[in-house]
Amino acid sequence: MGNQIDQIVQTTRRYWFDDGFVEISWGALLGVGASLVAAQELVPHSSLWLPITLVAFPLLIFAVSIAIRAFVIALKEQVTFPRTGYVSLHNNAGRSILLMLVVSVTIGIMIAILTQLLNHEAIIAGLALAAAFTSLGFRFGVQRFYALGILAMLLGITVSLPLNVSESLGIVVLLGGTGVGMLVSGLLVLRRYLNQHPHSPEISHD
Amino acid sequence: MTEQTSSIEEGLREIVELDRLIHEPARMIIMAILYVADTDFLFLLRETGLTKGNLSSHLTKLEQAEYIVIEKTFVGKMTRTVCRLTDAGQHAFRSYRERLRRAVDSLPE
Repeated sequence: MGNQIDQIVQTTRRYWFDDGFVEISWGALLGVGASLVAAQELVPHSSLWLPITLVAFPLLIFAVSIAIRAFVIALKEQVTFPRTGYVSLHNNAGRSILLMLVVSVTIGIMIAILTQLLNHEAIIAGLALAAAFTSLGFRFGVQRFYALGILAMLLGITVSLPLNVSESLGIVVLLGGTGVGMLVSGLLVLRRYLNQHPHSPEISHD
Repeated sequence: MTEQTSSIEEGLREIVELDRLIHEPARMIIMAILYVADTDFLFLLRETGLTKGNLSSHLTKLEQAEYIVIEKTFVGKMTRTVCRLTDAGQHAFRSYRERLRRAVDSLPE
């Protein structure tokens, strides 16, 4: 019965990922990250470039994350909740926003610094993404996240070693490729969800 | 009295003291779901596999025990019935889960 409780808890948490909207939005966020790195290469660098990007990247990523979160909830209100029910996980809202801020600052600073300092940063970024996907997959019991982790790791290694592209291009390919992977995965999940739940059931709550 | 016998007796005591209101399987599922999330009637209906009448009956019992609160909210023109665990419900479910775990652990392999 203890195992049954653990299963119910995990199924309820996993419900947030049942419709694919989270992956689609995260895929878009990675696309924004890839665009930032690409833009960094197009603009002529000056001595102020690194300080500006250190502030601008985290802020931009944080703003996009907040917008995406609101967008996902709006989509769920329209599509998911009427079909299969409303769920609001017990995450402390303040803590979630703080976590999002920390993640945004970390990603932004990593993009700004790694692209200037390290060799083979695509491998490091790929491994970091793979670790994040694995952790999420384990916590929520979503097995397709393991496949996305493998994709990120393989992309990081491939662009750095066999292809040996420039470091910035490597990061663009890694973030863009992983983002596309998430978009495709999210869209497939959404299609399956809509096939399984084409209409909202008529429920009287009384 | 051997150590094993004492452990089994302790386990049996834990089982006897389990919260009967939560121990009923359908209510245990409802409480486990609400322990991690606030949900509406439709989600509980799908996850428990109960009929509407049965689910309402179990929710009423949990509400009477003040383990959950049921709130009606409006989303646009639609009503949404949201169920939420109270602090007392959170505490009761945590105690139930710990007691159940101790009872199972005390049984011999």
